[in-house]
Amino acid sequence: MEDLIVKVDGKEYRVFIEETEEGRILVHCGSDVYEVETKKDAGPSAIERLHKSQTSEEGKLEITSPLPGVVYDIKVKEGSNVKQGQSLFTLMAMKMENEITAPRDGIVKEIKAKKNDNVNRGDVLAILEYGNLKLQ
Amino acid sequence: MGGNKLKAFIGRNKDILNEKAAAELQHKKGKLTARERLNYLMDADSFTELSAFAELQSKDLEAKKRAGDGVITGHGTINKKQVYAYAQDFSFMGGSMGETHNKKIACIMELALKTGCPCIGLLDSGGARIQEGISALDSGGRIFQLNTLSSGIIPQISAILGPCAGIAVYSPALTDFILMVKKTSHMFITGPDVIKTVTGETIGLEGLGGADTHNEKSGTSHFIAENEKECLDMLKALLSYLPQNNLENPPYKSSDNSNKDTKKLESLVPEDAKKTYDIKEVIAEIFDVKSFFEVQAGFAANIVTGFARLNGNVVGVAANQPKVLAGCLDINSSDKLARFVRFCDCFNIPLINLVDVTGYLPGTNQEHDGIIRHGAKVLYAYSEAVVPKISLVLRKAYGGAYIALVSKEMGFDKAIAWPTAEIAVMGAEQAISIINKDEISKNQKAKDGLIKKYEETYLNPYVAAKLGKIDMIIEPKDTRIVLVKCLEMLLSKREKRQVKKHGNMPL
Repeated sequence: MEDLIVKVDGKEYRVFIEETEEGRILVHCGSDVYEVETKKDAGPSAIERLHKSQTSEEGKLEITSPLPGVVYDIKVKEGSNVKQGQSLFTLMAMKMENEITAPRDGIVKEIKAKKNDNVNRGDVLAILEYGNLKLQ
Repeated sequence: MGGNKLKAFIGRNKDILNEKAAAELQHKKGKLTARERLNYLMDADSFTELSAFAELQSKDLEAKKRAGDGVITGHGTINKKQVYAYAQDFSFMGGSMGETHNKKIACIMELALKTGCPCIGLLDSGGARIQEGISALDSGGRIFQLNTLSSGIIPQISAILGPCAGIAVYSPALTDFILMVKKTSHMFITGPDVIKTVTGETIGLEGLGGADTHNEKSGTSHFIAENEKECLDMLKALLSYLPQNNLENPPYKSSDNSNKDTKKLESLVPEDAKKTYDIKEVIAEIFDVKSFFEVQAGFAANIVTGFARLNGNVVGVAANQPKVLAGCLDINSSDKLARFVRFCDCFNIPLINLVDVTGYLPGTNQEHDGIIRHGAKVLYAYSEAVVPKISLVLRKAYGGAYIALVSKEMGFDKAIAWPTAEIAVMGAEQAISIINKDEISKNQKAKDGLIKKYEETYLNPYVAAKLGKIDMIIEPKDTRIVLVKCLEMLLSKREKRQVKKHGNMPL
């Protein structure tokens, strides 16, 4: 069983791909099961293409505060391109300046915190958009 | 002798060694066969297989039986040291654990215990063999008992190289270290299908019990590798730090720079206590070159634990990581630290702490999830340990974290501090708001002055040094030289404890 996120007609679905012992391909989506035909053509199969797209997935990620503190400095703007590990915020907590960094490359879609905001662990500070979907 | 009987034996041996079916199955999935794994792990030509002809006894499975019953067990050498190992063969009945399969494993575990050699498991199994019923379960119980009896006597290491489900996970869970491989290893008690039926949650194998999940979320796994060969290389590297058993010292490996000065530390660690830094750079600077081998890097990153060498001697390093959660102690880091400390104590590995901690992570979920009883594990582990224990305070060491990581009365042999150390019950602002509560409520402006006075009076290592709580205050550049001297002085340490069955450690 493999789970993937597929985009069909612009909508995203979370599905499970199961290959049965007889070689049938079943796609589980929510409580529905679909059987899909596989075509052996010159190009890579649909499953292979789906596998490939998994590595260049796109999505949104919430940047949350790992501990309670005060937003001391906001280092990026909405629309900024950021690299993995780049510092996005400085959080003053436990009397120390804690750097909140980007977990992956992406673009800052939205900044939800203001300077001097009191935040709790788990509060969303920003939304990061990442990747670009390439389906062959 | 010659003739038919010899020929028949050679033929049977060939059948056992015939890897074609196994190779086809495993290689298709990008995995190695059980035999390939053992050959890669062990020194060349050192592996001796035991119980190769053992077969399942169950009448119901008479037709399916095969020599070996799905597991290869035996002994060999790794880096010239004797070890016992078993590797499950997924190509036979999904590597399922039947009665003979389990008995074979129990057999080499007993030998490992008797001879005082590490025992290694290379797991790749779908779980208990359903057709063998209770016999399969009960014989599995014997494996768990041997894991427990061997615990603390011989190092036990498990590499999960495929599925490991249901009861199969408990043997690794009882061992000292678990290694997993991305996308190949999966460990869980109930699989995605059962979960879907019972709770309605949908989750894939990787998300439920893959290598990342267990290295980062559950803290069950200690090491993660990109592929099987890397995993087995890590296993070998891990063994190079460990003694054969609890009656031996860890292996010495000479270094060539015992007197190196560590002036770089002055710039690595900011004097401004508000600034963070990466403690791993400090560790790399202090200990023998490239000797640091981190344990559980992905879990509770606010405490860094791992093996290293100091002038050739293996030590267990525990250090707060200011970059993560401000280096606070919390539930996960307490568990990680306590387990590491107790392992080191079992196997005569001295402990060195690098301390820069502000305290415990505040929050109701920490409190409700039991930071009290989890934090107590650290105190228990350090108090119980009889190995040399050295603590170096780099910057902050407040309150309970000070007691857990530094306190000489609690059992640390040597407590050393840098001039930047701040050893106190709590930080200035907090302390003032309690001690001078009345004064401040009458005159708010006095607060800043009081904070400054507290900082000057208490937030330094001299208060503790005057009381004899800190043995030495040293310059950062002398750190390595001082630690080497302290360690070498303590290597012959012997400490007695009153005999008892075992303590009641908070769990």
